[in-house]
Amino acid sequence: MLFSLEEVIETISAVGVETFDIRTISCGINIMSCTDSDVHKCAEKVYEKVVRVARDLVPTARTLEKKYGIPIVNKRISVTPVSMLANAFTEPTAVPIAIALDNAAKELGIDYIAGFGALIQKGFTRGDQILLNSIPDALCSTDRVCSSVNIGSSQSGINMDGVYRMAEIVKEAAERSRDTNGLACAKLVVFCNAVEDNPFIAGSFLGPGEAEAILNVGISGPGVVRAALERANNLNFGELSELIKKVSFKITRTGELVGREASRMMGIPFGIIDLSLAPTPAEGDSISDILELMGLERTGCHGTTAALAMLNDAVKKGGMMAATYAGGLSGAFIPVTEDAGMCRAIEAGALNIQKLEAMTCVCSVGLDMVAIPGDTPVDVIAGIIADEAAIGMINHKTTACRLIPVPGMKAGDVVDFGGLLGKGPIMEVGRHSPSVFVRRGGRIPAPVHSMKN
Amino acid sequence: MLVLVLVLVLVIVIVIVFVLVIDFSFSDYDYANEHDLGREDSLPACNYLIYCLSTTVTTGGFPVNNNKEQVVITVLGANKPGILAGITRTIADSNVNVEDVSQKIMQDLFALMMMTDFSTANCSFEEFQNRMQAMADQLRVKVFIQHEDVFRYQHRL
Repeated sequence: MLFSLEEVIETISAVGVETFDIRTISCGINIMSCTDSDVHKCAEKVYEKVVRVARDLVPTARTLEKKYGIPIVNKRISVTPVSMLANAFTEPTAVPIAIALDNAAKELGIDYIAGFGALIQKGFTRGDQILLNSIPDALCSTDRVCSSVNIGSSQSGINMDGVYRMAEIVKEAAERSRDTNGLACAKLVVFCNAVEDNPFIAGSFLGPGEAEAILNVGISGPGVVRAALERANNLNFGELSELIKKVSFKITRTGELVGREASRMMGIPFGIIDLSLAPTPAEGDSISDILELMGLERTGCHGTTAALAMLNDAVKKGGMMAATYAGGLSGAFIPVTEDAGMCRAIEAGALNIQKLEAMTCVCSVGLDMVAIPGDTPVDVIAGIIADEAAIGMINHKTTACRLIPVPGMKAGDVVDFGGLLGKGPIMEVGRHSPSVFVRRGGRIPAPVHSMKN
Repeated sequence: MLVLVLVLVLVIVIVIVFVLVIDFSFSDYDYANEHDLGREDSLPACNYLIYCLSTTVTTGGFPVNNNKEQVVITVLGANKPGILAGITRTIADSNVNVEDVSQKIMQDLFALMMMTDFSTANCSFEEFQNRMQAMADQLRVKVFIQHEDVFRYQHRL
């Protein structure tokens, strides 16, 4: 027999018991060909192109699910940053493009579509300004559109005017979606060193250096890693790392298979696999649980950053060999409301926003799905974004903020966003103001690329 | 001379009868598969004859299938009489060929794995999965039907 019964049962139980899945197949689509000075005509072209290129995405994913017996949870689309198209608009709004993207997603049966964003790490174009001004409106008048803005990079430094503007936009989007607890902010990411081939929503977009259309795959599997750790006791760090690498290898290989086959069936080139451990609110599908199994009493206690660093590194090492092209964000995600274990750690008083920020130094992607009090001033939000961007800029890694200032709620309250976005406690933020610093204007210069010690 | 002509006529008649009378339904599908044709493609009679003769010589009448589509069927459940019989009957009814079987009883848990060739099936993959699921429900066991690639990618380099 080609495989042993044990091997087959291992694969089956990874799906059935340990919640292993392919988290997403994302189709990146270049929409630069849809450019038009009339925003409404442009929107029509965008709708037509997205629907035409991605028509087979959902049926293909369904066929592969049945063929391999592995769930493909999300089918998603990203497009070229819309600000590039907005440069040509005579009317100063990009909202019709967001509505066109929303309609295309609904037509195709896709839950989120991303790319309503801008790259402003060094400055603003006219198109960037139009797009930024449209973000609150666009997020509140659509259901499935996600937005991301890159405000810094290791090459360019941090555009602090962009940071402050984004803090204002976060605040405005939260206020305007007050009836849904600021849900619009769950669809808005502020990046430093954004990657061009990230398949994970909400920060996904098709970078200017990418092909006409591309398929990227994001894998998941915290439950599989957790199950492996549960079976293994008294391992030293070398053995622990080895175990995580093996699990990561196997789940990444499955992603590679699905990506190659989807690419063949759709006739769209296969881009990358994102080697990420992405948690969900489902019980057992938690990064925090893995950290606690490694020997921490609670996530957030001293030692958490070291545990996360080791986990993140082992996941990458195992996955690298399994993937032809690794890319995207590739690492362990530590969103708060999307991970039931993280929420428990906050409620137990073990994890606070300062420790969370330290953890983002060693993993992807940043302060993700962090609910903060609704009365947090814009200056403080700008300070949080600037800190996170600085970590990314100095360490040559991607960092991001997806902050939700939940209107009317204060620290300790519990907010429920529903579905994959989960529910969790509002986190306390610092009480002192960075307002003079964040309002200075201009850019924080790029760091030196030598003398890294 | 007359004898020679008669023999030739006889051979031609035999060939025509052979091509017309033989049931195309199974073999032409294999032929089409091997030669990358659609099922509806008309088959040149002489090629078909050569093909039938060659397979008769090499495989004793059963056509060789080089386009295998290997599917792993796994059955798990509480052990009781009739599981193997029920599962294999559905497989046979779907004209799926069993190539290897491995079975174990692990603490009263019935665990069966079969390597099968799906390329000869008389139904779609989805329909086969539905048929097997119906049988599994009847037997109160769990059945998993997966393309072998998923195991190959995870467990073999």
